[in-house]
Amino acid sequence: MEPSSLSASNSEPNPGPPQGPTTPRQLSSIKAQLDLVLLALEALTGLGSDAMLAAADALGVSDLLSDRVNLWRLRQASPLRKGQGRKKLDVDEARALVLVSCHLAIAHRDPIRQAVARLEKALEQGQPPHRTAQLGDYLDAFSNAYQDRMEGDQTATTNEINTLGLKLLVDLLFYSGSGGSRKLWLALLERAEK
Amino acid sequence: MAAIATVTSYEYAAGTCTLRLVGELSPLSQVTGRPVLGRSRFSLQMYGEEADAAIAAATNQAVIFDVSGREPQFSALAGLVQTYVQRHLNADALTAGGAVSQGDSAIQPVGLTRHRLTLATPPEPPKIVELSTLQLADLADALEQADGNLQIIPDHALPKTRWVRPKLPLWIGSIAAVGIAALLGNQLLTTAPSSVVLSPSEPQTTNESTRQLPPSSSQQPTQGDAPAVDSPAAESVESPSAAGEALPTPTTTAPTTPAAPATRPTDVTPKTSPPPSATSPAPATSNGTSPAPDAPPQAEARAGGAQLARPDSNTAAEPAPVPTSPSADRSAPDTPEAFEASPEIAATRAPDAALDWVAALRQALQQQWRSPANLAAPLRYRITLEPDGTVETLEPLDDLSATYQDNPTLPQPGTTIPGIARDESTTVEVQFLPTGEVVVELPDS
Repeated sequence: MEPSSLSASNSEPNPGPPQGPTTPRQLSSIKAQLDLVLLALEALTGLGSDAMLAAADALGVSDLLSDRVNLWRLRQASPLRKGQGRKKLDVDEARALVLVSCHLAIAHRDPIRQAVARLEKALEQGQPPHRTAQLGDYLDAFSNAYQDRMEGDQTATTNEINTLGLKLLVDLLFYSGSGGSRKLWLALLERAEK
Repeated sequence: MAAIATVTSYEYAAGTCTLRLVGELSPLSQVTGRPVLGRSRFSLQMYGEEADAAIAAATNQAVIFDVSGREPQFSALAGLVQTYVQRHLNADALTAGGAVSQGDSAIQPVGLTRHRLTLATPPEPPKIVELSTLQLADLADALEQADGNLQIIPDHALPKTRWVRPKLPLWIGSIAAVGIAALLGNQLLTTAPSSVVLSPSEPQTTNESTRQLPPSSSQQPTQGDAPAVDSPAAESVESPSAAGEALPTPTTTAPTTPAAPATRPTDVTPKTSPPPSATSPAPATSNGTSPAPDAPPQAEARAGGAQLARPDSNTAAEPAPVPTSPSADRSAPDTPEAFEASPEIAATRAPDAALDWVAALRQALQQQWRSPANLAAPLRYRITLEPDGTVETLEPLDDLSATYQDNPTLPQPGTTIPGIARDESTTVEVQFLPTGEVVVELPDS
């Protein structure tokens, strides 16, 4: 039986202009969300595809995430990325990416907590987050990676990307806790309904 | 005879949050694969972000929020937090999740990374605390851990017991009969037999003693169940706090706590796991109160117990805080009320200490315990501890446990478990679950 496909997101209507000053529209697609959560983890912790593949192996989903090419293909399914190749992501592959993302978030819980604590402190003091070393590095890395890879999104502004990065950083905090994979899965489904 | 409930406690810590759950371990735990708690109580502490929860808990520092209550309140709090967090995650922006309310309790965002939690705690004013995102995540984590590791039976789902005629009135009636007979005999001696008239005022003293019963009986209709509360199922359901109450402080309830036996280390006896031997009021009374001949003192004690049990008139009826049945109290999850220390329930101090000891032991064992990968069922041991916390014996209670007896993550004889010194040797029954959890059961006295 053909696994269910999530390619429907390719035919989703244009999400339209942002609804407000802080509305990461990029999160309306399940495939885009999954890619971006991993992007946020990469930007914050510096981990790469090796760590993702190792996580897949530890979780027993290496048949779905067997090598870098496979991983790249799955992440390439995001509508924000340009490029050829299939744009489909079946439910098992999506689940594998969810598990890997949360597994990595748990493994890097300390830097995530640190970053969120610094974000809170910066906001309390009325300071721009990027002025804090760790946050500045994270936002730079996230923004650079986003602009390099998300060629399918030419309209994103720096402010929008930074907002998206901070939103994903806070989300990672919850995904790194108990029940994180369930929370991410529900968030994917909830956003996809919009 | 009905089994005696096992009271156990679980503690979950996550960063700035410590959550403790105490309740009766249901026999259903044997079939669900994880502990099932009935008549549970919870206690939640949040600490400032600077403090590590484990250290802060030990030193009682920097507690910014402290709340406790019963199962309905716990479920409400857990639902509120989890719904809010999920909406927060589902939202497209940091502040777009919006407020979530349940009854008079609510969580709402404050700015980008703060969250105001308002907990209704009738009859007291609502408790309000502003949490950072880190604290919210820790709170959600602790609640999630509890949700994943335990199953909590809602109070309303517990079977209602038939109101059993309290046994006390039987002997009170006997005393009354003896008193009446004595009076009659006296009358016979002093008056002509034909002139003896039983007037309502005649057996005054005995009536008074019996009269003391109804109030406590009515207030604690389950009083009679107290001796029979050996079985958690047999224990009556206290009328739950009003549905509208979100998080009432447990001002009520029985001072006598299930840990009452636990305060008697000398009374420790090995106890088989969950269906413990049934006890009758007689053993309970061996704890120091004899129901038999002293009707007036007992009645007074009962009245006093009733007062202790009902410091607030509007509190839900709890299982009898009958001095004669601390075994009942064993099954009454009143210990969590110890979280709310009040002068009327000073009697809970000792049981509270026993529960703390159980919690400390459980935590120490759980830190060490690593379940083998292929373990499919809990391991059960009877462990005897010397006063200084040294393991004297580790006795397996079944064949499977005997197979794993030499596992180094189990408390081997000769090793010392830190932080659990007591005045006397103690024997406990411990279950080491495949999930990594540890269940400590204090034997009944």
